[in-house]
Amino acid sequence: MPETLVVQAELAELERVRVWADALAQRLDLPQSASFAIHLCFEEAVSNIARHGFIGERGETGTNRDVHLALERDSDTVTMTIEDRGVAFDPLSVPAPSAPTTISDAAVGGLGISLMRHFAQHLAYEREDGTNRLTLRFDLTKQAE
Amino acid sequence: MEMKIETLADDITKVNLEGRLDILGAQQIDLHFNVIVASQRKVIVDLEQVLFLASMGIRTLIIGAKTVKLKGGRMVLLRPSADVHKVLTAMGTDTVIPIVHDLEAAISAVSG
Repeated sequence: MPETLVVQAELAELERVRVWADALAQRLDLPQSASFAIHLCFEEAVSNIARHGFIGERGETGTNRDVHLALERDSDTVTMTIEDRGVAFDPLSVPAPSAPTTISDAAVGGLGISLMRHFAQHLAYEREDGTNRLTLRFDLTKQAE
Repeated sequence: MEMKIETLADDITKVNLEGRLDILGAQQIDLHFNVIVASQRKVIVDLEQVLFLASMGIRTLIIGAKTVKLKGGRMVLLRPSADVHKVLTAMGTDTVIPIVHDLEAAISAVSG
């Protein structure tokens, strides 16, 4: 049974997400590196939604800024789900910035999605009935490396 | 996120960061950090007390390093934790901003 939290799509809610994720990591007995990866992905996903997901009348409802978070552990797999009713946006369609070779060409944008791709072993996006759903899976055996 | 500044010998500025360098942490220090990197040529950013690093924190560090370089200076990152280091290497930040693990190496790296 997943553990769930509903927050508003606002940066000020990130602290509440952190506290919830902290407690959950302990309850689920997650190794420290996995806990860090999961915290990071929650931070990136929720802050993206808060900053870009509801832009005036372009949001699907304009008023429902709920972001539904869920986390579930099944043996060595942790599944994270983030759902919102903001503008349709598939983060997986954003091309990853190329690896920098000098500080001058180092990108400062698009890093959040790259981090999620790096720290989660599987990502999936779907849009259904006006809801964005991002699913990330973490293999605890790989996080431990 | 807290930021404390130390001035070392030879006009080296050591920026000691403490806390979470997430989007809220980056917002807290951006203004002051930008003032430092715009005015100093030898900058050591001590990450030993940074518990968490996310994309907006990386952005702050990269912009800082770009600014210092544009002015002919050098910036290095000092003593990131294992998890913070993983974030830096995941983004290739370690290939464009030197990461060192002791102060002597940091001083040497910014002194050129």
